[in-house]
Amino acid sequence: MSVPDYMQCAEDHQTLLVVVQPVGIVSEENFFRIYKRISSVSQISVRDSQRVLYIRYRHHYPPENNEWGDFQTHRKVVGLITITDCFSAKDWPQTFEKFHVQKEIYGSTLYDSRLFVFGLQGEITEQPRTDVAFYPNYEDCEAVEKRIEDFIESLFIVLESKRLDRATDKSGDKIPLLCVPFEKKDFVGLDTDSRHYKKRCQGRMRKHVGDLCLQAGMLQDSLVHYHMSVELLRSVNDFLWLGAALEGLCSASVICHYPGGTGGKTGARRFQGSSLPAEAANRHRPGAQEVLIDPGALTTNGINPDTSAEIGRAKNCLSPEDIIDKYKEAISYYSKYKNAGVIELEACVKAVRVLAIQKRSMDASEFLQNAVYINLRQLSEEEKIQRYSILSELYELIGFHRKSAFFKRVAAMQCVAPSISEPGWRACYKLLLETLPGYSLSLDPKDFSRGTHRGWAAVQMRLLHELVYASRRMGNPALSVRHLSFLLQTMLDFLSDQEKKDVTQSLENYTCKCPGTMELLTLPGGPTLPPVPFTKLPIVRRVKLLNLPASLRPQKMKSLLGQNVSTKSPFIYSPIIAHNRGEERNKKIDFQWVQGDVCEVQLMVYNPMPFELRVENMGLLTSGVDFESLPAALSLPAESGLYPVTLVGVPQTTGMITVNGYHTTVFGVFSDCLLDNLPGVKTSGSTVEVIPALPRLQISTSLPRSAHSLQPSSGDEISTNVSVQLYNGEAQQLVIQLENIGTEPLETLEVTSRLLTTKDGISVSGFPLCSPFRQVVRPRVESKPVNAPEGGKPGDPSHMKTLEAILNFKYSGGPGHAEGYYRNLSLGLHVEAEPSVFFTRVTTLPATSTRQCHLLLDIFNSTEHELTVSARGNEELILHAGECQRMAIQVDKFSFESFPESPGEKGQLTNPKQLEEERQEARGLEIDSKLDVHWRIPSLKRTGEASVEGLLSQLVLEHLQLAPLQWDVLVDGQPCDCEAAACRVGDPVRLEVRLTNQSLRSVGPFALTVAPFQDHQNGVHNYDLHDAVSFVGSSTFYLDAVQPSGQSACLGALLFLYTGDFFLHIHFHQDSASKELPPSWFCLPSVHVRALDAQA
Amino acid sequence: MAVCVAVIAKENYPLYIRSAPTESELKFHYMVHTSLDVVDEKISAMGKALVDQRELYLGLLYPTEDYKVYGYVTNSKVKFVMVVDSSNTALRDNEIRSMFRKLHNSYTDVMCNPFYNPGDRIQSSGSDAAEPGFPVITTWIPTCEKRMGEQARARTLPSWFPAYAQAFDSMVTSMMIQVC
Repeated sequence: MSVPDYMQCAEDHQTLLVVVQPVGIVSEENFFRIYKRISSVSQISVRDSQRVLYIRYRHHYPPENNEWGDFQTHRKVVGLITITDCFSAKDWPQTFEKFHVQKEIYGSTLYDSRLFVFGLQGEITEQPRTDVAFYPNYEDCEAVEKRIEDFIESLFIVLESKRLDRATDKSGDKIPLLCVPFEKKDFVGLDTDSRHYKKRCQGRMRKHVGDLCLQAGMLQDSLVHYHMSVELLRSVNDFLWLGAALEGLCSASVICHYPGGTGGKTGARRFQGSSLPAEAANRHRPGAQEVLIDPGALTTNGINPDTSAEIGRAKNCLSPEDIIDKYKEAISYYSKYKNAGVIELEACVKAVRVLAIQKRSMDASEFLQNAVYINLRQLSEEEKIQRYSILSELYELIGFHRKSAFFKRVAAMQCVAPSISEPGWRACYKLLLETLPGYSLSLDPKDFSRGTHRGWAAVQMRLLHELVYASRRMGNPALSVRHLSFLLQTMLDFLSDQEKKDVTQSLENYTCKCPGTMELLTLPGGPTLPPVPFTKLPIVRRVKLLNLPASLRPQKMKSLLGQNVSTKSPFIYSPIIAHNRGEERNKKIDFQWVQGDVCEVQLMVYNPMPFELRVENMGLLTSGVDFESLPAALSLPAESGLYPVTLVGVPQTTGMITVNGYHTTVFGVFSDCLLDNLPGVKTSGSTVEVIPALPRLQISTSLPRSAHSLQPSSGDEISTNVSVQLYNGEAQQLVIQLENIGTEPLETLEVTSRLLTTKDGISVSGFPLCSPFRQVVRPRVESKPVNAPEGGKPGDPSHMKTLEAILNFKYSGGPGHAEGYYRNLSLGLHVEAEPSVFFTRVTTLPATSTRQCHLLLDIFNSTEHELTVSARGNEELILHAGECQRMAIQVDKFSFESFPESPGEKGQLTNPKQLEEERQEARGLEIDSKLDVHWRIPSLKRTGEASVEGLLSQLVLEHLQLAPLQWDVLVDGQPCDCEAAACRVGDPVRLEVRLTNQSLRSVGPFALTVAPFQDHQNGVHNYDLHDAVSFVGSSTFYLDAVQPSGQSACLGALLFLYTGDFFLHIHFHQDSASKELPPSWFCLPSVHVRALDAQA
Repeated sequence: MAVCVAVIAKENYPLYIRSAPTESELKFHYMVHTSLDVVDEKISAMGKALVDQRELYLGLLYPTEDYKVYGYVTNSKVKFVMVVDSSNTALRDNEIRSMFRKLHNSYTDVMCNPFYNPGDRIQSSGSDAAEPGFPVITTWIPTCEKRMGEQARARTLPSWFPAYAQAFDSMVTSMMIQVC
């Protein structure tokens, strides 16, 4: 006997072996259909008794195993069922003959046999035969099961008779010696009359009867027989049979303890396959087992109604512990005989199954270890595979998953051993797949994405390599690519640099024929292989949706009040921010994207490979909005640090868009990497609103752009900057051209300007674009010149100054306008003002007229060029570099009172100091406009103006200002100032002094004295003119108090007695009233009177 | 004495494995890996014993034709597995036991080092080209699993970096050298 039945279990000892075989040509399908029906009848209750008969069906059984039937009766073929096709009556005799031939094979042991004929109809079928049954076809054969039952009953009758025959065979007759095939020659010439020999015969026969009892369903009897047999055989050292008797004892005890069975199934077995451990586990419900494990326990009494059996069991049945001991003993006896290898192997397997039920894995593994080393003979490759597979299954059964996987893998390797002419790559692959759980390897990359790596990387990698190779040899490149991708993705941390290179090299070789996809691959066995996205090639660390550039950023018109107020919280401000990680990823971002505009997402990526990584076709995966992704290709250097990659796309519709991930092509494998599955990725939100399209303006200026950015405090984000360098007082024209490069028409445009406070803290006014204006512009290209003179008027002109201003273009149009969005384009202006000319000192000199004065300007040329300065009506003054000259300009006095005086109107908030500054400034401006001082640098052809602003002292201003008390002296009714008034000698001359009060208060009363004098033009003033000039009336005038804007006059007369030039000096009497007022208010014109001859 | 020494984490992945005949390293990987079945079984069998009474030494896990596999488990479920040539019959159980104890002490030293992250592989940074049984003089450091996104790890170690794994490795070497 050389073919072991690895499926054997202890319960098989109580079964009757029936072989079912086809005769002639019967299709496999039909045969197995009938076989299945036949094998469903595996258990028969014998009529009139509680005994149960178990049948084991085989469709194939080596006849040499049959020869061991005396040793263990369950190995004996006792029944034969033959299935045949027969369609015509003339074939019938031939068919029947074949049946007989078939019977011959197992003839020596058969109790009974049956022939099932399918297809034959006619009179032959009418004849009543017990051993032949006719069926018209394979569908129409309801009676098969009934036939089998009858057949089994007939088997039982034979069995029972044999049992009774042997059991009662105790008379003085010689008991025949039962023996196994290889023993036959050993007993030749032995003394058959010795006691020893007789005992041996008895022992063996007892054992045989025990077997028969067991088969016939008489468990207790069999136990008794086995016990007796063990006694007998032990005394004669008949080890082989002693082993068999012990094993029989074990089998009977197992059947007694574990009625659920140990082999997984007692009835319908699978055709060739293996027992299912899972099914076995189901059959043995833990509860039932607990009770049965301890047969001596009193608790069992209540369970089994047959108390006699209980007593018997307690007496003869082995305890679970003993079963294992006896198995061990039996196996040790078997091992003494090389020819009993199969018996030993099968006993090991049976013991393992029992131990598995007892959950004694360690003991079981010892039996298995023993089984591994049993050398039967030179096994064929197929048998080796079978043996390794069964070892794997048994290890699985006892919970040794790793060991199981190991043997399964060995079996897989055996399938493609070099000695096999046609390697079974398919079988190899299938077996390798089954080893995956044992190596705690799942082919779903998601299981690897979180937490640390599980399992033993070295062996897992090996297995994956084998899967790759097997699938390639199987001719399924898609599977190889998938496995190789998986290897690269999940084992990256464990691959050496060289291995990384090798794996990618072979992956590229595979993918050039069969690119890797994101589809599920269906394995031959049915399960599917999930796709493997390369989330580590490259590794993505951060995903950030980028706002549009400042100039394209949409802004919402603030039409609705309280729109900015968050409705989430009743508090206006709360320092507590809910940190919810889950929300963080999905939270909406507070900026918007615009339909039709290129939007960007920035990824920080990192290449873990020791070589340059080429990533092709890298684009965004989005949902919610139609999105046209514009894929990019990138090449990352070896072991790069974090590397920013910007992925772009254009949203085609509006709504909420969510960036779910990105796709790549690396080494020819397409990957869709979803952010949700990426560990350690930081995002600041992935959902953003896409608003309807807006027009897009492009700005160009007549001056070149500059990289110079405005001071950070400016607040607005400036898209374009213009920088210009000017001399103080110089003007510059700037032409700004706006072009709509978008697809939407421009409907509104609003221009505003804003000056930024300079660093010196001095604000500059006079920027002309102060008033916003609104213009509707045609949709297409539009140019618009804007004059923007730079009014640089620094307070301290001695050093370079910087001025900054922003021009804002607020525009909208298209569907975005309808939704209330606009865009803001800002132009930053940066002016650096260099000093040109400035006034080092400003002084005044009174002019001849009280209404005028001389302004003396000390002008300094701070440039490095020669320049000319001119004022209104004056000549040009040439100044060399660094030169300072005085310029005198005669100016009319100013009446500043007409200037903004009303602090109440302008704004209450301005403090008095500011107000004063403002007033000063306004005065300066007026003076400037009157003076109109210009400079020109001929060498540079640049011109500008100069300003006195900020230089005017209070004194100078007072001098320049018209006094609020306006004094007029009228001689003969003619106002007299500068010019000499003429009069006749001897005629009294009327003199009128008139006061107009333009101040805000009443003044006076005043007393004035007129003193005439003659100027000798040599510095001598002669006041002693009593004889030359006579007053008509008093020489002293009195003026009453004058109310604001009131007028008062006093009259007198003079009489000139001689011709000559006389001057009148009018002076005030010193009194308290006049002291309060500034002296410049009492500036009366000096009166020049020329007295002429009376005749003239 | 030992032909293979392995330290296995609580989660059953190798922290350290070294075998004397380096050419058949994978064989020992399989051998140690399958021995975990027995280790698991033994641990679950003694699961109910009191912690302080528990015997850490698991004894012979299983014999193969050429080797014997012994096991040892710490209270934190870190396993030590040692493969011994079965021809070496002079080796007594007590000697195996003391070897494991030495291994345990060395491992404790590694764990005590603040620069070692529990769970990291105890791995060589240098070449593995040491002759079998020849004392390895390279500096052994735990290569922290490269954190994603980090700049390429520093290749050179500062001079003060404690070579704690060296002690562990030379201890393993001393266990292996005696048989070769």
